[in-house]
Parts: sequence; structure tokens; C-alpha cells
Amino acid sequence: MDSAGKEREAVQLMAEAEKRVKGSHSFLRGLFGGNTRVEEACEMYTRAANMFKIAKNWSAAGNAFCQAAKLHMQLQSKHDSATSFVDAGNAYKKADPQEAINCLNAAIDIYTDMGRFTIAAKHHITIAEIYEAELVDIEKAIAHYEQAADYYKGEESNSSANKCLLKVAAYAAQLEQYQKAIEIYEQVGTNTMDNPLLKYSAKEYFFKAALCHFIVDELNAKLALEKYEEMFPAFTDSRECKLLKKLLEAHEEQNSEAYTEAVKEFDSISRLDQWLTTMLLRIKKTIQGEGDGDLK
Amino acid sequence: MNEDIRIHSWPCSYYLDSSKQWIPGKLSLTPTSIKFTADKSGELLADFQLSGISEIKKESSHLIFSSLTVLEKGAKHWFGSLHPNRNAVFNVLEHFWREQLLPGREGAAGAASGPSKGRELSGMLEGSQKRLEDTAKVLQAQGEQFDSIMRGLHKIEGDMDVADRFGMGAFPQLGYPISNIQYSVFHIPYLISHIQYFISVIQYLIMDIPCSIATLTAGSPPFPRQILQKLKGLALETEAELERQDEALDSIGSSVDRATLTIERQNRRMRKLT
Repeated sequence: MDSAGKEREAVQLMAEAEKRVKGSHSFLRGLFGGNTRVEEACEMYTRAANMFKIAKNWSAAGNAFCQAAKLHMQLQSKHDSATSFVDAGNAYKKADPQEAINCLNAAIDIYTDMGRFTIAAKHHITIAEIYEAELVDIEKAIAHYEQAADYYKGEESNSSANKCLLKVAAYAAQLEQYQKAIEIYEQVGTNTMDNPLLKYSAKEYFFKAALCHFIVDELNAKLALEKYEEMFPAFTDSRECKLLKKLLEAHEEQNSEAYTEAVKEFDSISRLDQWLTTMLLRIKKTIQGEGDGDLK
Repeated sequence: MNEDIRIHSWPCSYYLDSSKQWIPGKLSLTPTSIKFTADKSGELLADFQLSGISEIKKESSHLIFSSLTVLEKGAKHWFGSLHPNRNAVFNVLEHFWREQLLPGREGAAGAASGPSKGRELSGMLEGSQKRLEDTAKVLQAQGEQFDSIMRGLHKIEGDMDVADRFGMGAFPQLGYPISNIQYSVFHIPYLISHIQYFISVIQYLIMDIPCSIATLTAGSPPFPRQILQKLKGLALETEAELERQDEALDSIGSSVDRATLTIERQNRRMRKLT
């Protein structure tokens, strides 16, 4: 099928659907079978939307799904309405990110109203990802991840909640909101350290929390490290804890070479990811502060 | 200023947020900073320190195809149409960014710092462990998904009781959700047995790691290497399989969801009919 033909067909269907909706408003029709006409219009909008999809006209597809969603709402079928809003969101995502977010938000409102928080949370994540990738508004992405985490927690989906929270923490630390990041890492760390499957990862969260402390204040980092070792003895044996101790020592002596050496040693066994590179660089800068002033 | 010490420069375009435009120009790298100069006006549109970077990513969106983004102090810089190609530029930028933290890694391949066999093996062990940790996380998330599916099924059962009382035979529409539920119920024990199998594999792997370390310290290089490579492969395999299951579970979850909703609707209709 050629896509131009599909698109023409879709435009015709849209016009036809619109006529039906208008027709259903008349007094007599309202009395006799107005709803059937709305139902028919709804179906036409959906079909048109799918044809626009074939023709890759994403914003027209989004618009058609949106119309269908509104009619579903008029017919009191909330679930169908939410599904259509999600379809609209997915179509718009490829053409108009802001409009995609509006549609997904409409779907979320319906889902939360119906008490379906897990699905609502899932769409909050989709919105957060759009803010991250398309619109580059990290603050808004964080807010949506947080909302998703709250909904997941309420539904006892702690793993999914933690996943969202860790995203929030990573971004918060990048934006230098260390207190927020620390709270999350500590919370996730303490939640996971008693779980047989997850305790292996707890060291990572305490490590990250300690690094955030470190950027703010060396002494805080020391106290935090002691606290973590006490809470979770397995942390002491980890490479992460050993690195922290070396870094603290190097920092105390303002010895940038020892600091670099310790980081190098760690990196030679497992390559540092970008987040750790950023944080370790920020700590390093506090050593070099007065030393060689070329790095400002 | 050390503007002339240019390590490299690439022709590319830069996204100017204020005018929503792509400006052609040159991206240049010095030992401590990144700069972008517009071709036409010669204007310096971006100039920031490497040490201020928080993330370098390869990204593509519908607006910007295959671009490189650099996150710096909360601001994101977009570079597109990179020549010769995006990967090459990414690798060079990332290298010099890391160089701020780990200076002279390549240069100092002296006596002690060369990657010894032991270090290489430790790295592999570390990698395996990380993989297994990730696998454990996926497993845990899956367990929670099962819980929520079970709760969903429980609700369905409750609702089906209502349908029963009203005599289901009169409502052929109910056939669809019920077959759907039967499908899910049939699949869940199968998936559970799969997951149990993987849990045993993982437990075996986790127990095996200390053993491998013992062999490692005993000092017979080629042998533990093979074990570890297998271990890593297995862990990777396990993760892939688990991810596949995760997707299957997702679809079961949504099918149960749909069934619940259909039944709810049917129940409402039935109540109206009686």
C-alpha cells in the first residue's frame, strides 16, 4: 500500500468521524442513538490514526488518537480513553515531544483516578525519559522519576521504585544537590543490605553516598564511612571502601598524587563509569584548589 | 591563554538553543577545554573546561540524529554531523576528560603499573561479580512482578465469583477474558520453574567465585582464566535470558490487567441487567 493513499484515506475518515460527532449533538439524535454515532466516530478516529501511522504522519496520528480518547471519555469508557491517550503519546513522541507529554499526563490522570498506579508510574517514567532525551529539562525529569517512585512504593514494587530513585540520585548529584542524593543512596543502601539477592549491590550505594559526602565535606565523609561500616560490616571488605579510605587519607594530606594513584589502581581493575569520573574529579579539584591553579 | 595548543578539531554543527538552530563550525579540543567556533561569524559559541563535564553521551532523538551531547554544570551541549564519525570524536573526548582524573595512564606503563596477569584476572572477576549483581536485581524485580500478578489474579478470581453467581453461560463475551486468564495461569508455573533454575545457576556461580580466587592465588594462570571466562559468559547469558523472561512477564501482566478490566465491565453490565 502506498503511504500517500493511506494518508488520503485517513483524512477522509477523519472528516467522516467529525461529521458523526456533530450529528450526534442534534436534539433528536441525542434522544435516539446519539451514543452509537459517537461510538462509530471513535472507531473511525482510531482507524484513521492507524493509517496515519502507516503513512508515518506522526502528529496527525497523535491528533486522531487524541480525538478518539476524548470521545471514549464522553462515552464513559475511561480505560479505553487512557489507552488512546497513551497511543497518542507514543505517536506524538516521534514528532512533538511536548504534545506527547500532555497526552501521557492525561492518561496518567485517568489511571490514577482508577487506582491503577503501576501503569501511571510507568508513564511517568516515559515522560521523564522524554524530558531527559528530547527536551533536556533534567529538573522536570527528576520530578517525574520521583512521582513514579512514589507510586511504585505504594504498590509494593520496591525494585521499580529503587530504580527510579537511583536515577534521581544520580541526576541530583550531577546537579550538585548532594544532600538529596545522599539521602536516596543511604535509603536504598539500607533497604537492600538485608535482602539476600540485593545485598551484593549495597556496597555500591554506600560508596556513592560517601562520595557525595566527600565533595561537600571531608569530615562528614569520614563519619559517614564509619557509620556505613558499622551498619553493614561486609562494606569494610569491599574495594570501594578501601578506595574511600585511601582517598580520604590523600585528601587529608592534600596529596594529589596519592589521590590519583589510588583512583588509577581502582580503575585498572574495573573501569570507572562517567558518574564516578565526574564525582572523583570534583573531589580532586578540592585538593588542587590552591596547588596548581590552572584547573579552575 | 593556551588557545593554540589544540589537540584536535572536527568539523561539526552545534545546536544553539536560543535560536533553535544548528550552526556549522568547528569543535576543538585543548588539553583542558572544549570550544566551538562558528564557521561564518567566527564567533565562539561554546567554551568550557573539561573538568566541569558531568557526562558525555551518544544520543539521537527525532530532532537530532546521531549526535554527541556533553552535560556541563546542568547545561547540555549538542554536537551533530560529526566528522569523520561520532564514535571517533566520542572516544577522544572521553579519553581527555578521563585524563583530567587519571593523567598519563598510557604514558606511565612503567615497571609496576603495567597490567599484570593477576590484575587482569581480578578485573574479570570483578566484571563477573558486577554482572551477577545486576542479574540479582533483575530477578528481584521479577519476583515483585509475580507478586503483583498474583494479586491481580486473586482479584480476578473474586470477580469471577460474582460472574458465576449470575450464571456465566448467558454471557458469551466472557469467553475471551477467561481464556486469557487460563493462558496466564498456565504460563506462570512454567516461568517459575525457569526462574528457580536460574536462581540455582546464580547461586552456583556466586559460590564459585571464592573458589576461583583460591585457584588464582595458588597461581596457575591459564586455568582460572578459562573458568572465569565461562563464568562471565554464563552470567551474561543468564542475564539475557532473564531479560527475555521479564518481557514475557510484562505481557502476561498486561494481559491479566486487560482481563481484570473486561471482567469489571462485564460485572457492571450484568448488575445493570439483573
